[in-house]
Amino acid sequence: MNRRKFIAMGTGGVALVGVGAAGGVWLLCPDPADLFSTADMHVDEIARSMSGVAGAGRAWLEANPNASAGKLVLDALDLDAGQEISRGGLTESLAERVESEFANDHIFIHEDWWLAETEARLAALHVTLLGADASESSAPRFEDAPEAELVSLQRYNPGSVEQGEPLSHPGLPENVIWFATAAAPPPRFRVHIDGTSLTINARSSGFSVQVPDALRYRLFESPGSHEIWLYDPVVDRRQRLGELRVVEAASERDGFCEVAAWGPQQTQAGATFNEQPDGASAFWIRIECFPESTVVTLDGTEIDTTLRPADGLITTHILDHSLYREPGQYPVALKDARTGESIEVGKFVVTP
Amino acid sequence: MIEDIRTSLDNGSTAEFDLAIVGAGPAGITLARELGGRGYRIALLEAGGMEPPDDDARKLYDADVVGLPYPIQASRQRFFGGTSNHWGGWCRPQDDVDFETREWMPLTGWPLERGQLEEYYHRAHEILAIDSRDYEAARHTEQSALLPADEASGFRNAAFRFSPPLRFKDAFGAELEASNDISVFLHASVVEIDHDGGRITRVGIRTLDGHQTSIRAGRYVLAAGGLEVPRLLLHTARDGAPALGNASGFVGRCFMEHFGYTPGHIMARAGLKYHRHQDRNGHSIMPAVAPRPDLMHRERLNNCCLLLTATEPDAAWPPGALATPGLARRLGKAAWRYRVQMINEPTPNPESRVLLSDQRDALGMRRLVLDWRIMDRDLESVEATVRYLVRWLGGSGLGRVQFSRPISPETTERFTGGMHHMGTTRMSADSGEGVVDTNCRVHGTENLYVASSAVFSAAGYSNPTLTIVALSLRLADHLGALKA
Repeated sequence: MNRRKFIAMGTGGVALVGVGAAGGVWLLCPDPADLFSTADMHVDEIARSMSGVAGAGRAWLEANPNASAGKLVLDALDLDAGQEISRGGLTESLAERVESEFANDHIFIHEDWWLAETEARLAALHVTLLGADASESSAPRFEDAPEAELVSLQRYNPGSVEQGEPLSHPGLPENVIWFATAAAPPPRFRVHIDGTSLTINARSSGFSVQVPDALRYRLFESPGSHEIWLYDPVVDRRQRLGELRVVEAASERDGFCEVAAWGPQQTQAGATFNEQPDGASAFWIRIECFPESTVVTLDGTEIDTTLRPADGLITTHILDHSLYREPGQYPVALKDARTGESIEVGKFVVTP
Repeated sequence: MIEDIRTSLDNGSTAEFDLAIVGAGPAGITLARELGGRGYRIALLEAGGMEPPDDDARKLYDADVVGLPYPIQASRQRFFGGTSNHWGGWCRPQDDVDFETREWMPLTGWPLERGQLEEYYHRAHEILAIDSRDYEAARHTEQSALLPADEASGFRNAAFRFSPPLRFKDAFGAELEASNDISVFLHASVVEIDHDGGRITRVGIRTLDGHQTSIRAGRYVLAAGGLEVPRLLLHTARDGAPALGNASGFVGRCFMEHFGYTPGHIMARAGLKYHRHQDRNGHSIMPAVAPRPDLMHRERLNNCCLLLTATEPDAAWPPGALATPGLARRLGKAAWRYRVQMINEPTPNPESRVLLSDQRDALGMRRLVLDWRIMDRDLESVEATVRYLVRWLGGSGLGRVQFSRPISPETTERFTGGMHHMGTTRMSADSGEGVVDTNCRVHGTENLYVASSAVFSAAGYSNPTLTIVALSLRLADHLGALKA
């Protein structure tokens, strides 16, 4: 195709433009808006200049396999291909045409974007002219975003959930994770968990996300940890906030996991340890999984036990101080009251 | 003073007051504070305690949801301060158009004009500690950060303002504790309203542990939410006679909720500030795009607003595409993509309603049945509004719209609400068209009033708390004048 013509001088402002080192010639050229050329040349140039429209252009061509996008654009602008027109004049006509198409519902829908028919045709012309070099677009990907501190995170809850159970934490609706931050984040931030992008609900003291059932069920497929990220789509930065632990459902557990930590491990004879508001002593035991009928025993005596499977935590409440009145070493154990299975947690040392 | 009714009133006893207010949320507390010191001895009856309810108390709110899905439990707060204990502080008065009778939206039209609430809105701002009463976003946010919504566009830039949010328990608990005129009774669930010839003679109170007392008063105000007020009234039906205020059949009907909908995205100039931010005066503001009244009138649309949140571009039509000469001549600068969330006004719909179940709760009250419905015309209005947005942004060279979620049965099933319960004892000048009169007195009664979003005749899209407080102040003035 060789439809190019020499640039003609317009009547508007001028600019000094270098033509090329080889020729070494300098010309006074008009402002681009005043450049006169044929209508088809302007349309081609505009189409070539488009960015990220390859997908829309191909969609239009697929929907209109026998049509000539360039000719239809010219027809819509009421221009003949060889008709002389300034670049500014054509752009103005194009803008008016595009705007009138919106006013008259002359629309081409691509991936739910409601586009003017003429701009879709321009995109198609872009693809026709550039072929494999047509301008593709790629949305920024959360996974590729550099890390940065987006918020000053103080804490978040809950950090774990039991398979098959809703996420829960005192004071929060079900399946909501609350993040306390030093300042309110912009609402455009998103939370990403396991490939799912979640809208945040920003408040002055932090933000929350609602974990949809579909994500929760997917997370439930196997116990483990899932990273929680915060993403700012505008600056394309992300921050790791923590992780959501999925622990095995009580009913699915065969028995006890390994005890990760426990305490206190020592006290003086008769002295209250880890004292609670009501004067009771208390053990805490960190353990990923345990039967729902677990009780803690101290030297074989079952003690009042609270199970918090979602937190991987067992606590006790001991009001009977006679259990550790005498110095010695007493075994602390976890016992499945239903099966009798038992594992030792450790030795509790009572000093004189 | 604030007392537990189980210890302050003997089982089987009756206490006498000038005014009994049922419900200690924003409406009831506002009313009590306004009338304290104006000659009234007031009983303020709170069904819960000072802290969130336990499981047994929460079960009192169990209800059957037979219409659109609705989170009944999450939307109610049965303890002192009511829903002020969890509200987000969003504030905005109802628009003028919300008070109008719009013939294309049946049953709209308040029997009040917006102007009759103006002074009460003014005072409600002070109570709720809202730092600005100016809702014109264009006066407070730089022009380049707003869409140029001129008259021809059919849209305008509205705004929300914010209460801190005020927790009524923390803000006014000590004041009520110290009050000599106001007795706050906790755990005081009203389970019956006795009446004789349109005059309320007594309210019966029961607690979960079986303690029963009564309050007699000269006047009574139901200041619970839009679910509990009709529930209490519906319980007053006796021997084939309609419930109090229900000669019209409207008690419990026209349940309205601001239904949310995310139609998709727009592409518009980068740097728009439709998120919550500090305005030029340092006051919190959140602009929103809303249809102008003339567009609503011309195209028979419901009121609504559109919240815009910057989000990542997609590959289908990236911001760079709009940089093409001639495609968006009023864009002004680079484009960006924004998610659009709509808050929508429902048409009052008699089929959207609160009923009583045959099941009873632990206090012997019949459980609620909520049949929340949205009319087809409301959905058509949402879709039409998005189409006008397409025309406006595209037709004026400002941007584009990505309409990803056209209305369908699947999308309506996923509608969310703002937890705003409105319209179930609607205000009407004529007793045949509603439940309360312009003074919030229940039609056909001498001494029973309602202070609640239940009286809203139309919902607009504004969050209701500011209007609830304004209406409570207005009712307080009315009751204060009666006492004088």
